[in-house]
Amino acid sequence: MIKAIAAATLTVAVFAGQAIASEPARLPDRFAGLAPLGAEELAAATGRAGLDAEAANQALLQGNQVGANSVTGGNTISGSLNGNAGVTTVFQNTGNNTVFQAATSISISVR
Amino acid sequence: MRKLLLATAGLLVVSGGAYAEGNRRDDRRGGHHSQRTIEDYYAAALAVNIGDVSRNRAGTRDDHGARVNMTGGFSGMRGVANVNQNAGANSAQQNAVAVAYIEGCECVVQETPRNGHGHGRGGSFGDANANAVAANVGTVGGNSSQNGEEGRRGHHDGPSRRGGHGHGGGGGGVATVDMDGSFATATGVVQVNQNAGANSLQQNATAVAAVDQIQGQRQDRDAWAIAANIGAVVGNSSRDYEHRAAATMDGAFRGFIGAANVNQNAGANSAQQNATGLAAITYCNCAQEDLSTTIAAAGNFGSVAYNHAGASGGAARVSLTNSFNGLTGVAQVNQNAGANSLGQNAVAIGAIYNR
Repeated sequence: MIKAIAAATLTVAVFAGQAIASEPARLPDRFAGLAPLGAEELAAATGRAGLDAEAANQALLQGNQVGANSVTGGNTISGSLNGNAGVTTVFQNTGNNTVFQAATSISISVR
Repeated sequence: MRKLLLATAGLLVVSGGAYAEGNRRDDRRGGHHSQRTIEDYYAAALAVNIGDVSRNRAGTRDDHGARVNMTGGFSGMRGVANVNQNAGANSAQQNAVAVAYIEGCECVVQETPRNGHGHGRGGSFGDANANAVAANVGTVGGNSSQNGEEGRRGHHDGPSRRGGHGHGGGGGGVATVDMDGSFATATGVVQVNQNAGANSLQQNATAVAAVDQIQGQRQDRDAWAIAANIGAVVGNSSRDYEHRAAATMDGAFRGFIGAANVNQNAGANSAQQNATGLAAITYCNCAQEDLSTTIAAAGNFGSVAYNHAGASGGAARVSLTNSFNGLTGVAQVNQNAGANSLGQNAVAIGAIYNR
């Protein structure tokens, strides 16, 4: 049992060793014809950025009850939400077992 | 006369503080005779609400009127506004805002002298971190609400009572929330909760983090904003007889600029949550080494479970009229007038832009 584990480990190690050993051999082909950037070009490469925006909703609607004659009613939007700029989310509800979710995620990078 | 009991249990509010700190120091290292100029700014803001409304009872007679109204309020305001209006039942309304903002001085690279031997590690460094977290955590559980009285004007339709159909129209109680002509041309962060009945939970959270200009040959800045709501409405009961519930908004938020979270509720069990999170960085293209990072996260986690809502006769109505016109920014609006319901919004924006 121990021998089997040792052999397997050795096999993995050999494969890993091969992978590492073979890496330098591929590098010249991959970057052939490319010239490194000069110091001035690197200096001009400012404003490097990392952006991460995440939005999430998680909901559970379970085991609720409404009566057999539970009322709802009018649901209107009139003359609204005109000429807007940006992000707008509107929910309207008048009854019964509802889930409504919205999630927006925006990343902006302007150079 | 039916006994009226309104109780609110266990409302814990923790309002976070905010601080900003700026340091500037010269780091002279004798071994290498070098000089560094370091500017380090850090601003953090935390706002948290934790609330619990449980095992309460509310009852009203059939001629009861619960009205929440805001007319022409907050017009032209600037800054941050949190508004909660409530006219009945068990309810919990929470807001949280956290803003962290750093504005450095003019974006100039200051040259610092190197050592006399030409081997120094001199230079100027600018580092700014703005972090904002806003969160609401709340539960509404085991509450009961009854509007009107069975047998007077209609019949209850709940499964545990005898069936029947309401007559609709006519008398009965009224629960209304109205916002008319408010927050016109306002600028900033606005969070509004209006409630007029049943068990309900409404939460808002906004977190804004911004870094605007720092100076140094090497500049490193990050802004992250996290906004979250966690809410549960569980095991509540609402019984309405000939009850009319309405949530209306007319002419509100005209020309508004900024971020708005608005919830209106007029009945039944419900949970409405908003969350916004903005993170913004401006930089000038003047540094030799420059790194900017923004993280914006917004999330809502809600559950509405094992509630009961019965309504006989009456009506539930929501309307949005002539509102939110000419708006710039982020607006999240929930309107609800009945039954179990859950509404959630979330926005996360990360922005990095060259000044």
